[in-house]
Amino acid sequence: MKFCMTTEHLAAGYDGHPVFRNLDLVIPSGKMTTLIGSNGSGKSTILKTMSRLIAPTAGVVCLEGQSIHGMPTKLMAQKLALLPQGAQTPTGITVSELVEYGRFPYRNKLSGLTAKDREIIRWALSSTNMSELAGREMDQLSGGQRQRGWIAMALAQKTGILFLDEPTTYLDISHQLDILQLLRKLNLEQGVTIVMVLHDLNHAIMFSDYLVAIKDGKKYGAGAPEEIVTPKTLREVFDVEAEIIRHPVLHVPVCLPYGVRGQVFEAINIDTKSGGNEK
Amino acid sequence: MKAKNQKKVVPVFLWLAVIAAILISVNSGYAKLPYGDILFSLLHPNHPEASVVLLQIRLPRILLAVLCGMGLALSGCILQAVTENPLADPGILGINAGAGFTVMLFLYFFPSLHINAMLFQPLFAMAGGLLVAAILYGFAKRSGKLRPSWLLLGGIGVSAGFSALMLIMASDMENSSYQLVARWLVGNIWGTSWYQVKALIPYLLVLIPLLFTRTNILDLLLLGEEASLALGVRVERERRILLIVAVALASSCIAVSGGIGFVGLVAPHMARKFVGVRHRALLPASMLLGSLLVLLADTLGRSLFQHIEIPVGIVISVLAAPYFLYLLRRQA
Repeated sequence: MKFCMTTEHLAAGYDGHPVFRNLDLVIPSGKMTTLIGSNGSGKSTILKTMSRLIAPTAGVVCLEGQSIHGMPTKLMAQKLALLPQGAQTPTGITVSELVEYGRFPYRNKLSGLTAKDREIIRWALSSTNMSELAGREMDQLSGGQRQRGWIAMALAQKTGILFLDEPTTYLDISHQLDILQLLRKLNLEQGVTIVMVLHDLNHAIMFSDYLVAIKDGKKYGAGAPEEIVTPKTLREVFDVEAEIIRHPVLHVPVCLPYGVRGQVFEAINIDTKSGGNEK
Repeated sequence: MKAKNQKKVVPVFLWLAVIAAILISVNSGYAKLPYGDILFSLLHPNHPEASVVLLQIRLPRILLAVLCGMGLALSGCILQAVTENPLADPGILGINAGAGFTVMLFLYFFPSLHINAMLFQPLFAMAGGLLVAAILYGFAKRSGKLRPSWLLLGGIGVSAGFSALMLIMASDMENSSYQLVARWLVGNIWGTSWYQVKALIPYLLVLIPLLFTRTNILDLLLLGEEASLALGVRVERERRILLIVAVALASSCIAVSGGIGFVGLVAPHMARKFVGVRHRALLPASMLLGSLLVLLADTLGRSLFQHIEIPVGIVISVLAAPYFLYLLRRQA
């Protein structure tokens, strides 16, 4: 496997409180990687440190073998795009205007859009199926369409790597799958390396080639979903008891949590009883 | 597309409106001037029959109103982007009060100098404005990050503090200086001569073009700190530059016109209704609307009543305060 990003002994935190430390991570190129872990485990902070939104307190992040910490900001934005969680949409801007912002890393202070910029904006809109909504204002769109607009903006940055912090939060199930399928399509068709934070473990399994489990600011394990998603991992990383079965259609693991670690017996009794009644 | 056409028409319309306002203003006030005489005076300013009222009183006053409107509106427009809060304005953030305080110190210690030293008055004002900005910046910064919403809260406090200091100083002044200062504090372009215009123009000529190189960055700042960083904006650095430009613009206007409030708040809001949120169109539209507002308010102030002139700052406050409340209500 080829890696496009690595971290070595990376640590970061807020106000002197470390959120994660001594993190050695590799991001395989051309794949979809998902960070999983419970709330407060440090996933988002890791994503932000790797994309240079937060300065590390120790260690380095390397992108294509180069440390990102001295890299000019615009050059960095040509190599890595990030969709932060809960980015603000200014009132009144249209989808195509938002996508135009994605060209900022390539533009001079005063020049307008070049023909190449326009072509890339059109391409980003059509790749995300947003061409027809290009002239609409962002705040008139549904949550799912708005998220597609943001992804189109990130695509217009023409980076090899795309980071997304919880891209499916606040969306209903159909739009969650829509966004994740779009990301998979972009990954396969354009070869974009995708790194994201997801809360839904089954989505993480379905749409990732590589999972990184984070517990209390440390790497618990990393590897293919089949290796990582075990009852033991779920117990130790998420504090839940779960069964792992095979998805009948996709043949990937599916986890079925049935109780909080150590407090499951009551729930199981109720379940077996009601199951018995039906029989 | 309708929206595109509108964006092209609006600046033209606004320029025409400013010109119309100038034409109205030139002929309003105590002495009526026929337009024929005005044209004659403009073409032959050194002719003995040229109108002194026009050339020495009205023209500088009109120009100053236009320039101050521009500066204050642009300052408000920047501050609204930097603080990510549509209610920001140099008055609310305390920059007016800070600049006013240092100008008052200047007038207090060098009362006889102030005509000769008019060119330096903006520098004093800037020192005060920047002092306020530095206090706010320190206040709003926690663990290396600027919290934009704190800027506004801090500004309200700082503004009250400096206003109190000014009142304390004013109470210690002689009656005549106090009158002068009190008039100046509420915002006044009465008694304007070419000195004030000459003092203001160099600052605007530097600051406004500098600002127009940053329209794209202003747009991106509205996406929030993380998204702008991810797009390659050096957010902290740009915020600092823009804050300094906003303070310098407001302070230099305050130095010559006194504390005209609300223009920086209201003009960008009106402009947004016409041209949207993109700064390439928003900055020029705000600038022109600011000019229009100050000029019309000043014209109204001097022609409403025969015997007294209402200072322009008061006219604007009376008109804009209800609009401000309306904005607050709509935001909630």
